[in-house]
Amino acid sequence: MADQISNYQCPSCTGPLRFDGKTGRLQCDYCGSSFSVQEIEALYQEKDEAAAQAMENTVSAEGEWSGASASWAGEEGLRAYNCPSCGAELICDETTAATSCPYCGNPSIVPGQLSDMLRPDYVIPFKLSKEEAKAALKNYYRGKKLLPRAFSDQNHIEEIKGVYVPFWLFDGKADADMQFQGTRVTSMPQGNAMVTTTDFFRILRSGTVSFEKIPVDASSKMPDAHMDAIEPYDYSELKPFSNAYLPGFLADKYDVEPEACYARADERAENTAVDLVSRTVSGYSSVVPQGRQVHIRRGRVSYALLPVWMLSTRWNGKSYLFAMNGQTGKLIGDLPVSSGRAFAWFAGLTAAFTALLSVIMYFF
Amino acid sequence: MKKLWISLLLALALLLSLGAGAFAEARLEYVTDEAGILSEDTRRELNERARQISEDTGCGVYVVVVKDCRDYVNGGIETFAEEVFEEYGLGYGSTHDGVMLAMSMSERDYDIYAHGDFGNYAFTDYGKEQLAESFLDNFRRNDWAGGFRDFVDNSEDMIRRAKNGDPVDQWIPDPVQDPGPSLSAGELGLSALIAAVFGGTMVGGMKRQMKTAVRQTRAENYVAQGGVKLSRQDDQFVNRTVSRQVIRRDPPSGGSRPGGGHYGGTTISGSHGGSHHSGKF
Repeated sequence: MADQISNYQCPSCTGPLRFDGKTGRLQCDYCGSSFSVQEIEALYQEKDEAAAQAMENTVSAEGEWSGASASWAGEEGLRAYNCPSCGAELICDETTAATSCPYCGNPSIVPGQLSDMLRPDYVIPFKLSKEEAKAALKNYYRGKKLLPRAFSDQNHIEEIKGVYVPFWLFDGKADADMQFQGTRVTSMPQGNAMVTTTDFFRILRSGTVSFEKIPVDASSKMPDAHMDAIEPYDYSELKPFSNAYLPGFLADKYDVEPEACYARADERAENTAVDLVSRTVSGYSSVVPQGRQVHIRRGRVSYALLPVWMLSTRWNGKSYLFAMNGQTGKLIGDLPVSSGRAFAWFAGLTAAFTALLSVIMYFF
Repeated sequence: MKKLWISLLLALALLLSLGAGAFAEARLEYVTDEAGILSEDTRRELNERARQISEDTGCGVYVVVVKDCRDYVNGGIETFAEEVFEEYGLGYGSTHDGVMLAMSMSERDYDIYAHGDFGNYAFTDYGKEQLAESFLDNFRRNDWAGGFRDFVDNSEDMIRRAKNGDPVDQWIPDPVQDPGPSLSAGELGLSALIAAVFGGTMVGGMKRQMKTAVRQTRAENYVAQGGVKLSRQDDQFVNRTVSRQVIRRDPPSGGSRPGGGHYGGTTISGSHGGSHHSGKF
């Protein structure tokens, strides 16, 4: 089973390597060496392939996990691996592609999860460090007047995790045919009357809007709203996928097929095409849409891992999830509302406005 | 000019001089009510009070109420006030100092007319405005006696302040005698309601800040460069409608003279050593 999970070891001292977003290189925290992604890829290519093959053989020959992981074979959605560094048993979701050993902290890659057909096309490496993510989250709490005071104190910001989230990136075109009724109104005085002339127009617009890489998250574990809200990513930093970007972060493989995501991408493409075509209608006093037909032509679908800093926390029995774009730093999340604070603000503002309005009404 | 009893003959002379009517058979006193809106007792009481003030201060305080000032003069309430003041030789001292509240009931016009050097010093434009405010609320309730009392009392205050070199040029209400206009319960309720809407909107905005995860419904960020291509752009004229609306040119509204006669009152300078503040009650 030891071969079923691997880590990238420092060629100099065999210490575990982790990807550093600042330098874009793999860093050894033990001896301070750093290596480019290409160097590590070349060094570990054969080992990765062998490990992936070994995992595939194990599953196909035995139909279930064996050895150290036998006890978990019957548990739906869980798999067990041995940490290559300390030998501890790691229990992971069946979608886990990269993780860290909770005992020795060794960053590990689960081979086979991101290889062959499951291999992502692209990855955007983490650019922001954990410290930056923690600072951003603390800053996010500031100025939130309705946030319960104890929430941020009891919040385990240290548990923020860097996760490579699987996304489908959809290319496509939207053909929009739209009809509008437009009016142009002019008024001018004639004698003792105002003459208003209204010209009515039938406005036809047809156009095609091309889209590239509309992202839809491909993980059932990730809330769609959170993943949508941290967009956009800067695609100029998309890189061909390599396992070498994963050490030090968590990663999941997709568990939602592209077919299940088409509807969300189509909806976004249709709405945007309608907006853009509508904007070409100008010079009228009023414009009223009369009808539209939009045809979506789906194109290439790419598979990418995109970086997200995440913190899941609980407060008064409810879960709150924060997500930060690991590339741009855009942070979103749901925060609890203190009913007492909300009422106090409402009462205070109402009293202040009442006093202000009374003064105004008194003097005017 | 201490006596104000006017003879019938003098009234006839006034009739002739005004040309349009007469302050007919009136015995002009400090408080003269030709419209019959005061009981005789009340009128006497007010008259005595005005006489006392006038003689004590050397500045006349007068109230003249008629049914329709146009029965006496060719003009409005200001002309009436001026003509009465001049023709009856009202006022005290060499410059005929005094103040008169003239009212014409049919048009609900009033005019505060200050005359003479001291009269105009004591009754500034601002002072006349404040004086009007002190009685207009009574008049709007047809509380004539209360309004005249306010006029007489506040006139005395203004005269005495002017005597002390401090004419009313800005209103300092007496918190005991005149607590000033207060908001009604309805107005307070309306303020609170509007304030609650504002407060609720602001707290709602704060709450929205607490939930920032929203699904995207647009994809503008993913439109390819040069990815918008229009294949048809056709604007077809369908028909035209023409409507014609007659422009109504309303005559200018307001009173019987330029710049005056509106509800809130206005102050103008007269041509007889006096100044006016007039309006509707």
